[in-house]
Amino acid sequence: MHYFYSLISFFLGTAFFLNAQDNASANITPSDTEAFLDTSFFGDILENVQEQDAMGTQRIIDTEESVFSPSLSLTTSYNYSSNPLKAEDSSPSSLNDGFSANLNLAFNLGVGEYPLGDNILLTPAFSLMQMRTYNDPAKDFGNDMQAFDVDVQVFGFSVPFVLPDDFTLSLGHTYVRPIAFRNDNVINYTNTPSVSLAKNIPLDNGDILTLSVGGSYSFSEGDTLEEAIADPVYYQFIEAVMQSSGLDPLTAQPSNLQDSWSHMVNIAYLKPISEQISIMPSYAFSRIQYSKGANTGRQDYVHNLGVNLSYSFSELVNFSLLSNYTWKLSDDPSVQEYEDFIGGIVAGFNYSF
Amino acid sequence: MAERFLGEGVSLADRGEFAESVKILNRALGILREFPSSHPLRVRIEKQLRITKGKSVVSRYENRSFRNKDSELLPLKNESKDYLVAQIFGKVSSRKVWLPRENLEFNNPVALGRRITVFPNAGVELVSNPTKHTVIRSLNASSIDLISSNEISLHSGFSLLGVYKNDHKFTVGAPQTSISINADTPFACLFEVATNGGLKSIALLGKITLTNEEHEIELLPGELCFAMPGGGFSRKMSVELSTLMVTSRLITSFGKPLPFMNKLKQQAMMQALRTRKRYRTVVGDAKNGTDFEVKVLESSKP
Repeated sequence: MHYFYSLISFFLGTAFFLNAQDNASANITPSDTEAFLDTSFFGDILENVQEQDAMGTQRIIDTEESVFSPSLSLTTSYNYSSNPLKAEDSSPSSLNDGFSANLNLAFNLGVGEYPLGDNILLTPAFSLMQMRTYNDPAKDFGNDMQAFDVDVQVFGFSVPFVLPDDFTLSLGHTYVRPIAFRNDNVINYTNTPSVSLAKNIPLDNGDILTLSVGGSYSFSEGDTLEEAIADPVYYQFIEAVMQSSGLDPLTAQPSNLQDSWSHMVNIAYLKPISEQISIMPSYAFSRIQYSKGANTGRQDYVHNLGVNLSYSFSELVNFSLLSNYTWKLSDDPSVQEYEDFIGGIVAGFNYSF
Repeated sequence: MAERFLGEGVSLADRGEFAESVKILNRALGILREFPSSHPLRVRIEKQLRITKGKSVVSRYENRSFRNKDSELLPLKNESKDYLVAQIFGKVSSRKVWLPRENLEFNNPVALGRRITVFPNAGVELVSNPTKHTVIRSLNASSIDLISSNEISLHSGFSLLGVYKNDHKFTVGAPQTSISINADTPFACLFEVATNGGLKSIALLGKITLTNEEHEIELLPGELCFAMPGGGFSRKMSVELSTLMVTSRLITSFGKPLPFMNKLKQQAMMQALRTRKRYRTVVGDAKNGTDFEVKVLESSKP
C-alpha cells in the first residue's frame, strides 16, 4: 500500500503543482514526487536473501482481497516564509517574515490494477483532499493575515499507465477550489486535465533519480471584476476609467481570467540514508501561459529548489523537515515577481484500510 | 476408521499395490494426527508404513532389473521430437524407451516416455514440439518423467511448468501424490517435491485450479500450497512474487528469459500494489503428512 500511496501522492502532487496558486506552494513537498514501483522496488529484497535456490525465497505476505484500496493521510506542518504575501520586495504590501500552520487531510481510493497487454499496468485512483492554511498563527501582525487564511479542496482522478523501463505516463483530472473560509467566499473553481510522463532511474548506489515532465490546461471560473469589487459605486468608477482607456471590464476581466496552459519539468534525487531516513533534493520549473481576457499572452515562470529530509517513524507515522526556495518571473510588468524562502516541519499519519 | 484403513493398507501391500497402500496408510495417520505418537494404533500404522515403503523400493528395483534384462531400448534415430532442448547447462541425461543420452545438448529431441535426470549444478529447458506451448524447466538434482503431452511426474527436485494454451489440463505427479491443473488461460507454476513425497506448488501466472483426488483448490499468481500425500492440500499462502523473481534459479539461471517474464513482472507489480503486510517469514519444506514449515527470515544486519 505504501507504493500505491506514493503513486497517488506523486500524481496528485504533480497535478496540483501545475495548478497551484502561489500561496499554496509551501504545501507541495518534494516527497510528493516519490517514485512508485520502479526497479528500486527490488532493492530491499536482496538484503534478506542469503543465496539463490532452485525455487527461490518464498516470503510470506498478506494481500488485499478487495479491488478497492482506500487510504487516509493526515499531514500537519508549521512553516516559515520569508515572503508570506508573495509580493515584490519593492511593493508597499510586502512583508518580510511570516509563519503559517497547515493541516491537510487526504482520502485516496485505488480502484484496482488492470493489465494492458504484457507490459502496461493501469492503476486508476480517486482522491479527495482538504487543505487548510492558517497564516500568522502567532499573530505577529495582529489579525491582518487572517484575510489570507484559506481552504483548498481538491478532487482528483488519475489513470497512471506503468510502462516498461520505469516510465509512468499519467492522465489525470483535478477539480480545485480555494475558499476564504473566514468569510465563506469561494475564490474560484478550476478544472485541470493533465498529462505527465515520469522516468525513474535507479542508480548503482541505491539512490533514485526521478525525471518528470507534464502539461495541463486549467479551465477556471471565478468572480468577474464587478463581483470581486462588490461595491457598485467603486465599480462604476473603475469601469469608467477602463472604458476611457478603451477596455471593457467584461472582456478584460472575464470570470475565466485564470485559464492557462502549464508546462513543467521536475527533477528529484532520492537518497536513502538508512531504512528510516531519506533525503531528497529537487528542482521544478513551470511555465504558465494565460489565455483569457487581460491576461492573454501573459507568461509566468516559477522555479522551485527544494530539499526534504524524511524520517519514517513507523508504517503509520512519519516526520520531515522541508525547505523550498521559490522565485517567480513574469513577462507582464504589472505582475508582481517575487522570491520566497520556506522552511518547515511536517508530521504525517498514513493509514491504509 | 483408522483401523479399517490400516487393514486396507496391509491388504493392498500384500497384493503388491504399494503406492495405493502408502496413500491409504498416510490417510490413516492423518486421522490420528491429534493422538500422541505413542498411541498403539498409530505405532502400528507407522510400522506398516515403513514396511510398505521398504517393499516398494525393493519391488521397484526388481522390476527395473527385470525390465533391463528383457526390454530392448529403441535406437536414438527413432526418438520422436515431442520436446526439444531449448536451453541447457551442466550434465542432464535422458533415459528409458530409447537408448540413453548421457549428455543432452541444445536442440536434442526428448520424446514422451523419457526420464530426464538433471545432475547437481545443471539445468534444462524443454519446449514442446512443434506447438511450443509447453515449457518445462528443471535443475539441480531433479528427475522428471515425461508421461504424455499433458502429464509429467516429478521423482525429486524442482520444476517450472509453463503452458501457453487456453482451456488446458495438465497432470503433475510426485512420489506420494498427484495433482491435475485446470486453467482457462495460459498458466505457469513452480513445483518442488517435498520431503513427505507431496508437492509444493506456486502459481506464477494465470488462475489455476488444482485437484488432488476429491480435493480442489484455486491458486492465483503468488499463491502457494502443498499437495499432501494421501490427498488434500495444505492451507494456501501468498508469497512475494518480486522476491521469487530475483531469487528463484528456475527463473534466473537460464540465459534466455522465460517467454512470460514481462507478464510475471506485471503480476509482481499488481501483487505489490495489493500487499498489506510483508512478514519476515518464509515457507520451508513439508516433512509430515499434515503441515509444513515456516521459517523466520534472519536479518542481514548484525
